[in-house]
Amino acid sequence: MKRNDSILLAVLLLVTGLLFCLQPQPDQTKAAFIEVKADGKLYGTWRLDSPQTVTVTTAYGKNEIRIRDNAAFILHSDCPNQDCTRQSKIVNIGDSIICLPHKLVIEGKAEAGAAAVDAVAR
Amino acid sequence: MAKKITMAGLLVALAMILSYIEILFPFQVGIPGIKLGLANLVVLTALFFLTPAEVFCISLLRILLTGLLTGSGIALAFSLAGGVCSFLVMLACYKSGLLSPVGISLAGGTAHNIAQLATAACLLQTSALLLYLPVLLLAGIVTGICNGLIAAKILKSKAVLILMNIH
Amino acid sequence: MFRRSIFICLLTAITILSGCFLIAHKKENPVTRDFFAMDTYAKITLYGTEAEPAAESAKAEMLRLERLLSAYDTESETVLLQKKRAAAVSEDLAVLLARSISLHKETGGAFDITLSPVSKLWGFPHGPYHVPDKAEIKNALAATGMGAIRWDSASRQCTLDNPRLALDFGGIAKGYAAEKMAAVLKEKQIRHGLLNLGGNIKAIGTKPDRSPWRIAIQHPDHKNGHLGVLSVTDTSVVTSGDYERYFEKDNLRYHHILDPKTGAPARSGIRSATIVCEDCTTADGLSTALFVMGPEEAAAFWKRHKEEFQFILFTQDQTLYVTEGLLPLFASELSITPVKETLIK
Repeated sequence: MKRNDSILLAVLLLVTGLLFCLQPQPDQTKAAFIEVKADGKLYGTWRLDSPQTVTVTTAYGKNEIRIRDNAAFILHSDCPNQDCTRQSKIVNIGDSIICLPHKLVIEGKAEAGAAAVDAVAR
Repeated sequence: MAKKITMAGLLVALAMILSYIEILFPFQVGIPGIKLGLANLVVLTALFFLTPAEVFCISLLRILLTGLLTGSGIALAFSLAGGVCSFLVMLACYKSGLLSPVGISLAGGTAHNIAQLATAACLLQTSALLLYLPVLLLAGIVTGICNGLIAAKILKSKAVLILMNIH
Repeated sequence: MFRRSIFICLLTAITILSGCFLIAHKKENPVTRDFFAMDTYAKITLYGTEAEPAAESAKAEMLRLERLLSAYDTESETVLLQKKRAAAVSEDLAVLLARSISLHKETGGAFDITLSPVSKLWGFPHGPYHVPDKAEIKNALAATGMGAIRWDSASRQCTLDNPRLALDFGGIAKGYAAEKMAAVLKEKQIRHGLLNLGGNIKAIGTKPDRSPWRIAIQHPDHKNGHLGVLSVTDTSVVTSGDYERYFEKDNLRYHHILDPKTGAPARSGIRSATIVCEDCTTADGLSTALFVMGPEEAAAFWKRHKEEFQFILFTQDQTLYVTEGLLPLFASELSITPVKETLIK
């Protein structure tokens, strides 16, 4: 009898645990756009809510950034070690992808406007 | 017969007291009226020495009386849904003989809370409430285990022999 | 076996109880009130168990002060004082008079509550607007002057020596109202709240999740843009700008912040002056005063009162000056010129 109890308990705990993990994240941490910096200087910014492929060409090489489903990742790069293509997607504020050989830094940024602000002094 | 009615009355009263005690626990999930289900202890224990019909009556009486004395109409709906579902689940588990009191109570507690949440989602017409499922499941697991352990202890004690003699 | 079950029970019980508390706190919704008062739009945002009654009390307090200070309501104490030219005033008016007089002295005359005849001449607050000539301004200025206010704090007796004197607490009333409202809220044990009285901000405590209140400063030129965002707790943020009330003629903008010396809109080079300090009355008064003073005088003034307030100025040449004390609390996409000892040019 006791063994069946434990099995039931384990199953229930597992299901609960899974449900906890699947809970949707609060919107406040999601990045609104990505900021691409090449060699320390701002190359450009692109919003995450418009799906597109951005090709960044610098003196160091070429990277293709794919923006899709409110996330960004490096689709293709002509750098030697391909580390950047394996880094996890940019979804939240502060997430980043770095292509070292190309001196490329892509960072997830917060909405600069009304969303993050409680009041406007005027 | 008189002994049975007295016993039933006592059990209903006991279940109502447990219902009342659970209001004192800081169990707040943002949906007013959702309860822990401590009264299931009575239902669970009764399953072992009363017929299913008798147990169901006691549970129903408890829910209706408690609902009338305290709480809102919505709380009553949750209690009913939770009570009926947990009773059916616990009955099935008891009859199957696969689980000890702890396991039966575990199943009952979980069913109780899932039923409450489902009722809430229907009544309030929103699926957003399902976000509360993990917490309610966890609560159901804990109360289930607690009730089960207490019931197991009671069933092993001498008091049960007295209760069994009613039949 | 039984002991171990108890142990598991206890562990899960603790987890659940903490979960319950977390959920109870996460879902806290604010109580808000928004309404019109003192010729502006006010919004109260409060958190806490006493939030509902507290919000009502705060709103009532602002409406009470509106009636007291109204320059248009013939029953208001201000208008009655002007008519009688001498009276013993109530506590609120006493505080406002005393503060106005001391602000006027400290700011070298930049803060002035007697400019109503001149304001009206230009057409403020709501028009019809016109550009007066020198003679008209000179005439209107003759009706102004803080020197004509004789004030005795002991007896709370106020005498207006100039028969044409009109008192306008517009530059300080909202700030004072915010302070009085905050006092009401603190008394009701409200520890997390935000008062926004037409852009005058008073932050009470932190947000419910302990993070600071994020207050953006309006960009003078872009309706939806900001100069930057301040992260503050228990503090006031008040801005005076040339973009709130103004009219344009012959490509020149005439705004409502008048220079008491010239009787015309202050042309100090400042487009927006923001004061950050705990007391909202001070913040309100100083924002007008510093706007009139101009960047250099403002910096010198600040140097003498460093511990009392901080400021952010945005000038005609697009320079964003931020005093030292605010640098860690202010985030902006524009380039910042820090003000430390003196203004860095």
